[in-house]
Amino acid sequence: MLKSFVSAKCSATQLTRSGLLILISLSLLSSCGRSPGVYYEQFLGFGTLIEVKIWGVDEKTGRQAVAAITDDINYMHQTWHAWKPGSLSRINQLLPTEEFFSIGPSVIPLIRRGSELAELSGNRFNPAIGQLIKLWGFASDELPKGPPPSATAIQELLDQKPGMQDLILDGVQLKTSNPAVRLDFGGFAKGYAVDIAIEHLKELGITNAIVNAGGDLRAIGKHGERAWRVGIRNPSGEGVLASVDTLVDESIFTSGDYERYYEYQGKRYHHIIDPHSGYPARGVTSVTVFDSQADRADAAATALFVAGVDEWYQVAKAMGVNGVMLVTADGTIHMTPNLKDRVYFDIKPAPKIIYSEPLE
Amino acid sequence: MLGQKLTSGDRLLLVLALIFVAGLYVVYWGQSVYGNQAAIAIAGKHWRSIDLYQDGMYKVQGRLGISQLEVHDGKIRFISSPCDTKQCIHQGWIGQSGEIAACVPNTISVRILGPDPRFDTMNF
Repeated sequence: MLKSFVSAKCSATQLTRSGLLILISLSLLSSCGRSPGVYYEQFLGFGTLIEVKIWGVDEKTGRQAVAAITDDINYMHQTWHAWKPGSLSRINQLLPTEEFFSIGPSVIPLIRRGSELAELSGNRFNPAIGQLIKLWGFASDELPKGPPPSATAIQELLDQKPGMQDLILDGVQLKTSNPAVRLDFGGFAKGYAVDIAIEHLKELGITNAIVNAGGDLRAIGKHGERAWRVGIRNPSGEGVLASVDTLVDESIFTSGDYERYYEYQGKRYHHIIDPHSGYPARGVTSVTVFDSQADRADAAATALFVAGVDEWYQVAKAMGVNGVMLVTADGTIHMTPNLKDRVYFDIKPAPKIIYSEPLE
Repeated sequence: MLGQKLTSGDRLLLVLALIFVAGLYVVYWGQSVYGNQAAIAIAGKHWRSIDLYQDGMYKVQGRLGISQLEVHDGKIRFISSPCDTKQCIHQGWIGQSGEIAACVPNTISVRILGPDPRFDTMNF
């Protein structure tokens, strides 16, 4: 009896010991590569999917932070929408009067910043061409079906040369000297909103986060001990073109001809309209801009797409962005040299890359 | 307890445990760039998770109607959706941990989950 008790006790001890070793091994394994402390939430806003990742906060803090920026984004989307009822659509109704009228204070910084970025871009980014965007049918939730607008209609708008310089802002009073001006902040409002969301997170004490609005993002801080990892989707097909580890505060914005387009009689017409020609810009498939400011990255992605292969470098330099990756229709990549050691290409065969001079 | 000598049974069990752990590593961490589950969300709210190694077709009811998803060999894609742009379908297969595909008009998103995300977020 005693013997069997001792034997049972011994077996139990051996099992406990072996079990402990297994547990230690498993716990060591499970601690590898896990990503603790990431709060993730997604919601619909700005007509797109907004994703928020915050590292190093508890669930309650994360939830409160996302709720706060959800309210921000919903308000901004409603206020700045070019064709749905709100402050901006009211402005567009009153601009043709060429008389001063009062505007909502929240739109004023958007107009000021939009004017500044338009000037820096040589008007390749031009938020005053709302009528041209509407003429092409892209000022709508639904895609246009074609046919494209007539050359005469396009030329009539171009001849009036609408630009942000035509706006006169006096306190909260706005007027224009050019009745052709209609505002459409589609090429820039999302970036501006992402900046505000990130600043709000910082005010809440959050230092490690990503706010991604429909594929355009700003990342601050890190994911624990490592940088945030961003995949850049292949603009010419499925899969990932490249990956990059973000700097401590970096925005990555892409404009591409695949985002909104329609085909008419075998020809593709996309939504990035060249304010100088009046037609969708040609020759480029996508432009990805890296910068500390999301609003500038957003506007620059549009401006550089319009500038094309020949002029993107000069425009990027004038706008003061940090880095650029431009993909042409034949898959060639034009890139600033400061991205050489940071951007890793995931496609095979490796793309042809042409490096520009440094931007600084 | 740990000061006692290991018996042959202990050693055998330890070896088996190490083989088991190594096997787990190869299966779950060795190809960690690939996810093992897809999280489906409707209007930003988690709906359900799908095992990427159980091939099949899934219908998801969104704001506009039904989007169809296909799962095959560790990847997932939209194959139909009642949206206007069909961007979700054009995106094709996704399978790397951290990749995301969405049909925004139909309020449906698909996010690849894995033990060590290849990407924290996607730019496009």
